[in-house]
Amino acid sequence: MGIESSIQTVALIGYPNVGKTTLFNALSKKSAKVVNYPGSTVGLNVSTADNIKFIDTPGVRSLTPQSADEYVTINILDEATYIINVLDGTQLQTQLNLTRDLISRGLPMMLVLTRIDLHSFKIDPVVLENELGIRVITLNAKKSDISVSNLVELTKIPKRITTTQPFEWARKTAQRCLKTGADAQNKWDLDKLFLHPWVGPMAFLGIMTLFFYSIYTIATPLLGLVDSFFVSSTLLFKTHLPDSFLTHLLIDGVWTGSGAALIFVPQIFILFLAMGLMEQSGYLARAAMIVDKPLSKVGLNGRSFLPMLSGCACAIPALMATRNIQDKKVRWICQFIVPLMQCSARLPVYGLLLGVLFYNRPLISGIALTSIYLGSFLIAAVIAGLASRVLKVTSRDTTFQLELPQWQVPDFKELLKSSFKQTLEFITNAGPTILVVSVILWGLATYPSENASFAMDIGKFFEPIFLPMGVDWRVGVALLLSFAAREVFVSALAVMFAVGSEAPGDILSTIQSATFEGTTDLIFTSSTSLGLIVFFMIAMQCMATLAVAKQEMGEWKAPVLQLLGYIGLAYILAVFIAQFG
Amino acid sequence: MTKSMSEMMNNEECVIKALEGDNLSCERLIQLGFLPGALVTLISKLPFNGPLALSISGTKVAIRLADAAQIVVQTA
Repeated sequence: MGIESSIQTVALIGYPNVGKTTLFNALSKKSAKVVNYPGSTVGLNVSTADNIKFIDTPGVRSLTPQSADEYVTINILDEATYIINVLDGTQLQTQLNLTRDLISRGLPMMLVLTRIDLHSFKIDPVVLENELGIRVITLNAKKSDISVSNLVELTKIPKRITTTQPFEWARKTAQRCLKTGADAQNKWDLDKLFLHPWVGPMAFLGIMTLFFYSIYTIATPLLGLVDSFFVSSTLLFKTHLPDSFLTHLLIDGVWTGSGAALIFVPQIFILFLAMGLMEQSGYLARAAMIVDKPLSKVGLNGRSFLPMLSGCACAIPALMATRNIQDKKVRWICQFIVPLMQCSARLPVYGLLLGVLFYNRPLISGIALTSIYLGSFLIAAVIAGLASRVLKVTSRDTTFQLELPQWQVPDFKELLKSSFKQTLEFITNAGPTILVVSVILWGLATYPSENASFAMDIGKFFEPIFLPMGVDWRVGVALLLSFAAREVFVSALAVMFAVGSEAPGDILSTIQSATFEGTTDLIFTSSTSLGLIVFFMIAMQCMATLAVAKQEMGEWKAPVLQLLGYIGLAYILAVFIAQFG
Repeated sequence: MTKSMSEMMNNEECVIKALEGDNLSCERLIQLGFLPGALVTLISKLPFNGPLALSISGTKVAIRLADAAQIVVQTA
């Protein structure tokens, strides 16, 4: 098959979790995220080179789409000039049904068999080639240096399949390809443990607790390192730089602001690492199965687990991951509660406030952070339950079927690399905002004079709203700014309380000793800090999430309800705790 | 002896005889590999009428009890 000069579209098509994205990355030298869970590609990965547009699509089980991400793939087929059909060698019989549908399109195509090495019996590609009239290759994508155009040259127009019993055809064809006997059944594997009727759910609770607990405790020593770096460098600047405008801008604005937020980068790194471990090993699908029953009580299903868990990193990919949920009402409810998951931008805020509440007690802080996560799941469950009553979700509206991928030993080098990359992305995304906001805030808090600044005017104007929460206008300004992005809160506090204070210190001790102006009353008491934690747990303070929620839900009504409802609920609870705590 | 898949025991091996129920749910089950003639092994049944994990032609799948109740199997 020659390649014409006009642009050719090559589509990678196959069942969910067969290794399309791994193959795509290897062929295009890109690094789209690979996850051992069916349906992790929800959008298209596209690479264009040498007049070939190469597209990695979300997995499909047939050419009659059932979920939103499957529509995406079916639409691509209309544009495709070549098809590369990827099949998991361990699931030949089932997946040949999709191949049969693809063949009926009459486009030049070829087959790639993956996971051959995981099979306990051999597959003969030649038998399959003769049956279908197209090339079948086996590939270990990670180790090959083949290119897309190599594969395009291998494509052929397939033979027509004429059968009145399509499923029987798939079964017989698959059987003919197997060189030796059947798979050894009853082989012991991890599922005997992780899916055991009662060990499985207990293990799930244990793993989740460990997951959230380790975010705080493992990161603590690293956190101390970053902290002492910023404190000592601030001291160094103060002693060696002249007392000028630039020095103040640098120390009180740039350095204090960015330092306060960067302190918590280790926690975010641990979060991504732990999540990657669950994704790569294949545990994610087991966890989804275990939580299906309880989630079905509140109008969700096992497939809602992945979006909820990834919401603990960021609500934006989490909202996009809901496309993998087939049931419309379930998808809506899941999208509605995803912003309640504790995203990584909240970690700096909790890190600071837990430091105030449980100073130098990492064990208790770790338990408290775990409770924050579990508490937010509880709140989400209540709201999902209410939503499912309002939407009148019946048992017919929620379904659950999921392939359980093979267990895999995680590639730790790859894992560290991708966690590092994600953390870096967090810094580069949040960094500029933090920097700009910190500098602007420093200006507002310093001019015209420190005792009558612009920030003070704004803060004092809004103070009546914040006083019931037990905080003064300075915290109020930080709260207002946190609506630009949550992580700005910590930097803003650092800047607000650094301006005018002489003693350099780390953000935590500054906050701990902060008092209402002209008094000796501490601002950050236990009840105030707890109230603020609850406020951050619930309030929707991320404009990017609002925009993506609108895009995924296709309407403005629900996202606006999320915004106002969650902020209102957060405010009421925070005031209640501050007043009666 | 035929029975419903929801009545299978842990580690039990059965052959699928027929799929009952409405078209849409049958279609989804077929795409997962639940075809008459296929050999299935029950890996685990989660408590409180939770979902089942099954091994079917080399694949592992989780389905709900209600779906399993639509599948007629014969003890192998």
